Amino acid sequence: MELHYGTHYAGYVKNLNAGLTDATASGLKLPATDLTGLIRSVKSLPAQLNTTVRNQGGGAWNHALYFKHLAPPASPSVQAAAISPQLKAAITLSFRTVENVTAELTAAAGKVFGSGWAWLCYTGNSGVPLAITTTPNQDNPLMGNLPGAPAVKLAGCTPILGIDVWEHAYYLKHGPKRPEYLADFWKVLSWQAVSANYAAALAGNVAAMVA
Amino acid sequence: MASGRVINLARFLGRAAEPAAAAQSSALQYSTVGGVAAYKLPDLPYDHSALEPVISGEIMELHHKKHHAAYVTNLNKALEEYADAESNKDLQKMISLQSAINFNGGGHINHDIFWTNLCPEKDAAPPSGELLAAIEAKWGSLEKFTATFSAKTAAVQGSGWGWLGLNKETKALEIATCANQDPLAAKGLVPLLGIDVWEHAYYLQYKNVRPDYLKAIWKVVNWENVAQRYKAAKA
Repeated sequence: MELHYGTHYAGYVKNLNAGLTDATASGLKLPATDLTGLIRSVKSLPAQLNTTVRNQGGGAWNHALYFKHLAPPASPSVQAAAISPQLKAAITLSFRTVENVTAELTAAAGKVFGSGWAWLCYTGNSGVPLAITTTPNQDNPLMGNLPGAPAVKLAGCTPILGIDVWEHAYYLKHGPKRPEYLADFWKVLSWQAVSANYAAALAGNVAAMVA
Repeated sequence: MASGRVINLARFLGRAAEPAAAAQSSALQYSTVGGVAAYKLPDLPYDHSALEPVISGEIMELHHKKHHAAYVTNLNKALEEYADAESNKDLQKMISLQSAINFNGGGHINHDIFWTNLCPEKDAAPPSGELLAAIEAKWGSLEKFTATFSAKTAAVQGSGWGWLGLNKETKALEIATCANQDPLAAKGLVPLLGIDVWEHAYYLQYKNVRPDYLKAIWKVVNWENVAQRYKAAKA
């Protein structure tokens, strides 16, 4: 946790800020000044700022979401009872049960090859409001489909839950055994935070998830 | 159904791996069990602890006996499923298996080369002769080559590899990087020296400081092996 938060995550923030400072020093106007806005607009940024925002900005956004929705294993927020009625209804519509959504997300996270993330996303579709996707490296569904990258399922949708499967997220404790990390992950996942993320997604206030 | 059929990995991996390079010390070992070819995890040419202190024995054991072994197991599984799909003329299934063959086959090829590219520090000697001349001609000096290689490889986003390869057409040396386990051969280069920068290759020892790992690893590069591959690739 210390390395992940204090070094990896911190590194992404530092590098993003440095890249933005450099780019704007030469007079470039950014299309957005908040992190979420930048992530959404990554495709429209000039090279090489687009690479910096994709890799470092993506890293900053993704880890912001991740750490905000973790909680100590003893806390009530990791219990299924902490799932809001709104989120519960969405899970029922999309996956029928909480067991199903965690099983499918775990399976998706297990299948990611190389570095990347598995996401539970708000689709914007009232019939099936939640769905699962994965992205490589520090990409994020909010970035949409990126040139030169394989098409992303649910491109443009809003992640409300993210599982980091870069090896640094688990290697010191679990070595190569990603399935064991994934089993542990659910013991510290705050359903309270995910419920708040879902409410924010419904309200169109994505930036609040990473504030 | 032919008995003892051999599945040629190369056809799944973009441009075919150089037969000349494959024929010498880097030939992937396989055996025929029950009529289906199975790739085998090679032994390391040295003990797991032999590359200390540059790469810890713990990393080498996990890397070889867990990560590389998993690529071999999963490759064989995917190839078996592919053979079944082929005999059932199930084209959709064949296509859906290609990414697993790419990942795991690439992982097997890459690590098979990697173990031979390394040797204990006491046995490592700098490059000489034609290989050194070619490196100096292209980058000015060995130091400039290793600095350039390390910088490009450190910059790989996420998981991947840095490579010194030979361009088959121009016969020139090139530095390239690949994502995940994508094989270098797909870029038209013959792999000579590869450095794994998946986090599992260094994290237990170097944590996130990939540049430190890249600086240290030159002490255990087996330039003799690189020279052999260079000679075979030019032939």
